[in-house]
Amino acid sequence: MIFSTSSELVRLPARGLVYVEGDGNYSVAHTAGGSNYTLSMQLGQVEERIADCMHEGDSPFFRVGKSLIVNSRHLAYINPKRKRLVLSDAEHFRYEVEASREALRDLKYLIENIVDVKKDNAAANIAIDKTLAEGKEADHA
Amino acid sequence: MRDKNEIDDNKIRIIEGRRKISSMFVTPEFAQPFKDEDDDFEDDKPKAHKASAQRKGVPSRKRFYLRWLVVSLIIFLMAVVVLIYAIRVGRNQLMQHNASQSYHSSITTGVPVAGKDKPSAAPATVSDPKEPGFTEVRDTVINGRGLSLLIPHNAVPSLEVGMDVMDDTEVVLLLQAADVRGDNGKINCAFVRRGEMLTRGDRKAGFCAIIDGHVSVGVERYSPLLEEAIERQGDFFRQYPLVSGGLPVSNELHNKALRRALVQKNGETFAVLSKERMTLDEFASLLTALGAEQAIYLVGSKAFASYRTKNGTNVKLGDRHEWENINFIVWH
Repeated sequence: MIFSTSSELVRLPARGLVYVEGDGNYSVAHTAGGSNYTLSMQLGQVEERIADCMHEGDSPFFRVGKSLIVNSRHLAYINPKRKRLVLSDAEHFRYEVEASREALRDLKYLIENIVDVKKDNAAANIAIDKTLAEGKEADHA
Repeated sequence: MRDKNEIDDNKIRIIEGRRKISSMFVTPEFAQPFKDEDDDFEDDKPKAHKASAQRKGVPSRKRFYLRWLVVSLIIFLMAVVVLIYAIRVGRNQLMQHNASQSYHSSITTGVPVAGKDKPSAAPATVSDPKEPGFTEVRDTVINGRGLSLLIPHNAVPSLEVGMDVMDDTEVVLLLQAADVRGDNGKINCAFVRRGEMLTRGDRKAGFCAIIDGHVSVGVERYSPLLEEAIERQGDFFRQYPLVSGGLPVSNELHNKALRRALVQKNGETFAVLSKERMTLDEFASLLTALGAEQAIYLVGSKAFASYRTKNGTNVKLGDRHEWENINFIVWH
């Protein structure tokens, strides 16, 4: 994946990108090597770039809330109650990020219930919404 | 500017990939998302291999030129080494050629000793004790450099210590033998006179042993002739080696001075004096070219020396030094 602006270029393999934090007009990409790169682009632009680079049905990246994009391949720990999300490969890196409880709850639910997200991202998004909706209905029932 | 893809903080969304599966085969090599690097060189993807080969084309060309540069440099260095070797061999051969030429000789005369002028007798051999002893002087030029050969005839060598012998007019040939140390005034290295060892030391590898009138010149750190000289009342001293077995011996002294040597060649023992200043190595090379089989250094520069010519003329060279342990190899 290449993130290029007029002033810089950052090239990362997909599996090397662990998560991206948005901060206004800048985003910070955190890598599996422990380094991070500040990109002169909004998180939405980063999302676009990731979508351009990923094959159909083959993207492990989730946008979580307004300011987070995570690589689900590196999800190691989700605790919605404590708003904690840990991304790690259990060997070389470990990042702990914060997200809203609801977003983490939905993420946890998805990981548990949707077996093959990779096959069809679009269908998966629909399934996400459907599953989440059913789940919430069941909760309320 | 607002993020057009922004979602609610409580929402999540999969980021859908847009690249078509069929586009994988025309994917530029730098945009290979979501593929392990180990998958890049699969057998069933020849275009990927071609792309990677093309990618390596530029550096391999540089490697090619670099390799040839290194090879050319090595060949050049080897050629330089061969050239230097050829020049040295050629020079040695030229020196050998010069030495094989016959010498042009001249007799050097000095102030005749009063009352002792004697007509030259018939040519005498070195070992003929009945004829008066004299020193034949031959001047020669080797490789453009002048040498004087002092060849004693009808005389027997021995070692002497002290200044008295410098005034002895019966001397056929006299040359300073071993060095005298400047710090303590003693003779440098092993020195035996009439079987008595005056000093010890074998730092200088060259030696001269005089036992029963027979002179041996050689290059050996340990020589049994030292013990033999002691046992048989002979003489022995050490000096810098110059020639051994017809080959020059290298010395670490690189200063230039007038040089002298004790030489053995074809059974004869004689002295060689340089006419100009040179290093020991240069002197050794000239002696080798002269045909010396064995040679050791004798004290040179302005060391005292004397010889008697065939017509009885007594010739003195160098300066007198008033040293207690000054020592000479003397032919009587």
